[in-house]
Amino acid sequence: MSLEQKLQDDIAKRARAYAPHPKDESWELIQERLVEPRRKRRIFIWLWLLGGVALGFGYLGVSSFNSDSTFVENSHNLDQTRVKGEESVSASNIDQLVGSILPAESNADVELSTKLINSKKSIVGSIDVALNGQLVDEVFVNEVLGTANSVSAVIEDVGQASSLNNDRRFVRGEKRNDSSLEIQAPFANAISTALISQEIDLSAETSIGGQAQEKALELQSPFALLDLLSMAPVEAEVELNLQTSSILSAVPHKKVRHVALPEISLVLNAGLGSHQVEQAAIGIEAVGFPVSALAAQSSLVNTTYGLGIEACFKNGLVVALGIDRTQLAWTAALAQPDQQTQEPVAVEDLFTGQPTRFDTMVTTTSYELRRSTKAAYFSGYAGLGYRYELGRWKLMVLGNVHRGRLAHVNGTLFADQLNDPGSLYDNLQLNSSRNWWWSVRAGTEVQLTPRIALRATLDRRQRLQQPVLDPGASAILATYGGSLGVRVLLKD
Amino acid sequence: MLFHIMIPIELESDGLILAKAKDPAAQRQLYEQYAPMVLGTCRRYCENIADAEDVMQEVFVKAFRKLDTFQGLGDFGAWLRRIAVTTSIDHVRKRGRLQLDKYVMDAFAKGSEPLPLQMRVEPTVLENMAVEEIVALINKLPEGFRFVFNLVAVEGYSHSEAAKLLGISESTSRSQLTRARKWLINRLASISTLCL
Repeated sequence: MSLEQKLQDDIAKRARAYAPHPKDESWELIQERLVEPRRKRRIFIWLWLLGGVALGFGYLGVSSFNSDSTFVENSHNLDQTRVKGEESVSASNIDQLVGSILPAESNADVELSTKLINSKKSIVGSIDVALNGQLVDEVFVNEVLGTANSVSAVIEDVGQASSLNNDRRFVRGEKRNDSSLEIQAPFANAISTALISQEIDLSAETSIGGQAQEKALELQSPFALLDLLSMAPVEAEVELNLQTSSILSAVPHKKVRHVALPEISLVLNAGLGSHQVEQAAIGIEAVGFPVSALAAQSSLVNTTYGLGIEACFKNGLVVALGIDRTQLAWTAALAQPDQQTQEPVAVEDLFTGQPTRFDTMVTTTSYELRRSTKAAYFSGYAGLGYRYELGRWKLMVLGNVHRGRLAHVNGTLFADQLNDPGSLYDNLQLNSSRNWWWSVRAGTEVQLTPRIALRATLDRRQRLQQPVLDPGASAILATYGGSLGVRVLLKD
Repeated sequence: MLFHIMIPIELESDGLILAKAKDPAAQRQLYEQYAPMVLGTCRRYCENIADAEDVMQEVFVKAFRKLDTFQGLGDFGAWLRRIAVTTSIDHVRKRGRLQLDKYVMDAFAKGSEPLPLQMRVEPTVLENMAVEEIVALINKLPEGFRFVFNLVAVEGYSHSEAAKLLGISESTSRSQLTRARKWLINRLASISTLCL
């Protein structure tokens, strides 16, 4: 063993023995920190519950909407050295992702160059977007945060060519268990542009003390780029030059095909309905539109509220379970899987920073069987609607005509009826069978994360036929409903 | 590598079980047993003792919250020490102080000149130094050197593990250790000269 090595070992050995005593108050501080989060968590849960109750009693509300046309998958895999990465992007995903931004057969050179300019908690940088060698846009990337499971970035478009200088958009990619990335589209042009390229050669020049060190990287995704940004050594000066042969065009309009529903989306609804029959405990979602917001039509309270959960399957089947203040109900609905009368029209100007917009006309047809502890009800729906998507927001309006039939009423209901002749139960029995109704529903949804969206709907129904009433009986002529919900995507 | 300070706790010993159940007395017992070792580890990475105390508290908070994840497959002290190392590095990184590349160059310029022939380290110089002095000497190492030296020489990490933790290449880790060693020997030689 050399003298140097021996000295090193001796120093290390002595250093390991260093074990000073901490200050007396350290333990108390640790205890405080251990207890504090539990208290905060408890307060948060209470606030959350109170908020939920308050929302449930509000008149805004939920139900449904579309699920999931905005998700795109990218399989993405960086090896351990993080120097080389491989990715495969299927054509359909590319199409979904880029939508209008990059129509099919153009051919141009895109050059993105990125320089990290600051880094502390987050890494801030800019991406220059050049088209055929000419700078056309500059996009700021800030708050690029990378974790083991996600890569996200806030993109700020500050380009000279942009008309929306302060437009900020959020880009998020989530690594899934199979190490692929799930990202939300649409997003900044520069990133989209890079994503579609089949091969991107990325050369990184790291300057260490003035000595340039160049590394050739093979990245095929902007998310690899984001990944790299998020992993770059703090305060290191890294220059990334990204060149790709890409398909580009300045054509601002392009149709994209309909994206199918996710296999299962789980929707939690809390809602409130007014007038005799309507509840919004369950807002059934079928092919992007609510089919029904009824938990149990036979409930005969003037105003009711409830909570429901529903699963939407890819083939259009919707199964829901709900409870309101009077009863428990389950519902199954079968809706036409692809209800769009036309391809959605996506509008986006290349490099101007305008978010993608989709306009879609929609038709719906569906059948619904609803069973509760008090009654069973069967109905068929036909509707025409319009959906507008702008970035993470969706707005929808749907008009429906439906015909329902009360198929079964429990004995208890008749008992109530006998005890209270002339009550609403009579009317329910008399008037809810085989009736034509029309309804209008409006709703909005905002995508919070790739898997979670908040939604709200308002609903108005009106009976088309005037019922024949017994003297003194009130009729179920019109109802209002609404609901607030959160949609959780369980599986693509 | 064996660390003689560590006192292994038996797998699923009573203290650990109680601590897992968030029993304050058991947590306190673990704290008292391991706090000096954790503080010593943190001190070797942090700039001053106050920072090291902060990081030590963070280490115990993390450890007690994540105690469920400790499978008892290894030495509890080693598990704790690993948390201390990563937390210390994170702490320095968050404060924007971990500038390995910069320090490499600085150190090149200042501290790693080859030993002059007439300078030699007296064999007794280390023995005559208190452990606090040795740690103080390590703390004077340029940051890049210090982190690699602590990780590889003191903690027993491999170069590849150290490189991954610090976000540098393995070869950089090796060269920094070599330079750290030279830097330390230079300093010891100076001390030897002064003592003569």
